[in-house]
Amino acid sequence: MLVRMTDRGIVVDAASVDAASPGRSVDADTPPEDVAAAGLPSAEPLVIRFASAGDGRGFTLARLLRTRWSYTGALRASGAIQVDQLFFLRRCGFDEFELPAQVDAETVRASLLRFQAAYQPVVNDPAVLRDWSSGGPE
Amino acid sequence: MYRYDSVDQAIVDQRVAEFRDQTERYLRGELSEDAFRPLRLLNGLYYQRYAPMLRIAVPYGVVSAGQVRTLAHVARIYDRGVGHVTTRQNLQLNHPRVEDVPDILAELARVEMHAIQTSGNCVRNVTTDPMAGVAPDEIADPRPYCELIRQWATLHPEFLHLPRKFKIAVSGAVHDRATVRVHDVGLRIVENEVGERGFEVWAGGGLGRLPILSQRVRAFLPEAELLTYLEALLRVYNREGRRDNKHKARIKVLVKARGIEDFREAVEREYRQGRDTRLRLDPARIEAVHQAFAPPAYADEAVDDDSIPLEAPKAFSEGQRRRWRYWLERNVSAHRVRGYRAVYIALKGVERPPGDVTADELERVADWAERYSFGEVRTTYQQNLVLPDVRRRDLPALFEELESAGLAEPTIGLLTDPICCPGFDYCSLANAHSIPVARALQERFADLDHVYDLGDLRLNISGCMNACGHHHTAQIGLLGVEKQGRSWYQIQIGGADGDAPALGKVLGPAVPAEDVVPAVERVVEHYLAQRREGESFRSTFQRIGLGSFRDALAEHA
Ligand code: SF4
Repeated sequence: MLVRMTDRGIVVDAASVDAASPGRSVDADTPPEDVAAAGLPSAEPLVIRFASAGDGRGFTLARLLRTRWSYTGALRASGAIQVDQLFFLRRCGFDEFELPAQVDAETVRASLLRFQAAYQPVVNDPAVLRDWSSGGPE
Repeated sequence: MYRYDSVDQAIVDQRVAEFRDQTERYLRGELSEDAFRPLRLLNGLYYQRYAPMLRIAVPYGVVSAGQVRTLAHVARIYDRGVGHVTTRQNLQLNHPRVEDVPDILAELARVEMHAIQTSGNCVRNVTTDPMAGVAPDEIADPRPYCELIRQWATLHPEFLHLPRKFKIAVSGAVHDRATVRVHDVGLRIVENEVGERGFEVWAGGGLGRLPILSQRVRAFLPEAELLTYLEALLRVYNREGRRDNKHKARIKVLVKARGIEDFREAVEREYRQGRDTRLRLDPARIEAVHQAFAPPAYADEAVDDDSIPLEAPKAFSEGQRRRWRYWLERNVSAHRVRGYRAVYIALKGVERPPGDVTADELERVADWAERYSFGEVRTTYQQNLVLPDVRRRDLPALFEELESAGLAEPTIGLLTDPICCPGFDYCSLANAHSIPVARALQERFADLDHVYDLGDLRLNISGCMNACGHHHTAQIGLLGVEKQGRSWYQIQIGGADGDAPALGKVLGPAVPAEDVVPAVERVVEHYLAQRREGESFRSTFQRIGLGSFRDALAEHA
């Protein structure tokens, strides 16, 4: 299943991922410098493959590509990711997610929309965000 | 005390809803054991040896009377009426049912509490000095900074899957009561030459299999940069910490392998490159959080109290008078405001597993906090409680109440105030029992005059080399080891926490359980025989050395 964040909202495509554009693919533990040096794609998605759901390097990689290298194309998480991580992956800059076919679409939506507030300015921040750089109310 | 605003409350409430959904999917069989594991761990839910355990966060050890009542309530309704104070100042329930945990978290959320990130490979509960805000030697109150770090670290999307757990401690005083040198990151509040406030940043300390003291990364970090700098440091660790071997995954291994110079350079480079200015703390934001911890309304007339002699209650027997005097000496601590004192409640004693507190006791503590201490309670890393703001003239009345409730053990900082991990009674990783050893020592050293004579003497117990009982930083540390399927104990001596931390040294071959108490006795006797007038265990050890203790023990072998 391929889940995409689009202008029209969350699009869940039950078709197998092979049918979608495969894009360029890197492992989650690749240093962002190396990914950037090899050239960032402009049309196809950049796919970050997680060998394990607990590999936090993929989260840093996504955030840095978005912020330090200003990557604006599609960024897809694939591999061992879990549906309960979607909100946090999205926060780090991912906007496409490959998930096993049996995952329930409602669970996907619930996970992506789980929190309406956050403390950290990162990439895709929810509407209510803690403001650290002023003394005023949120 | 800090009160939640709408952002804090929304995040905690939505977290409860998320975990309720995850738990329901797990119970329906939609989430496997393996898939549920990291989700429950990030919410403080462990599966231990015999039952699940829920670790409730007590951020930097500060809790209100109302929150203490809720803790009593959940301990009574959802567990067996007992809570357990941990070395990260949290409170554990040792037998909740998994299906009840979402309800427990919902009850906690109603009083601005949670169990977020009390386990798992993420930033854990930030700890601090239990005397924060009341210590006479304080440079600045560390609690506002702990709260800022708590918020920043909570559900930080980039740092929920670190190589391993990450523990931060903050000290705001001249003397370190937060053990900053044995933390992944330790922060000490300092002022620079021109009187600006900032932090001295230490990294790479820890106990466990590789006990090591942290090294200094930065002498002065301006307070506005607290979160931007932590973010850079965490990113270096997240990217470069080892993930191939969980015993080598803590930041201390990275700092040691790279060397402090190289590690510092990596952090500074990341800090210069990657700073998100939105995380820079505005002075008004810092001030607002400081306001949340503004001092309570101390009575002006209390300043005159200090000159009035404190009398023991008239009805006291001679034995009670002696306990009262000891209690004043050990459990009552200086306060920055004249006429006030901070009072320790020891959760130790023959009948009490170290750190345990019953629901009934928690309710009484809440009452005392309201009547005597402006409604606030602290937990300590030594697994005790503190009432931080007690008027000095109330001490006799408070002592009487504590005494009648069995909570006036006058033993803070003495041999019978051990830090002790749960060990074999609860923990699946244990090699040995810890709690029964603590009990045996309590029985042997029940004579108050004797433990008083020994003076400051920390004895800590860990059931395995993970060192949750901080045995390395005790003057006498006991470590459970397994030998041919049986529990033995290694004895280490000479460790210390505080301003001049040190790691204990192994005294000799491990001893079987029945020989632990006699071995501790011999160590103590040797100290008594060797000490000079007024000399502490630690000073004596530093003067005569490990060899002298070894020889003394060998003579008896
Ligand atoms: S020191 Fe070992 S036995 Fe004790 S709680 Fe920690 S892991 Fe368990």
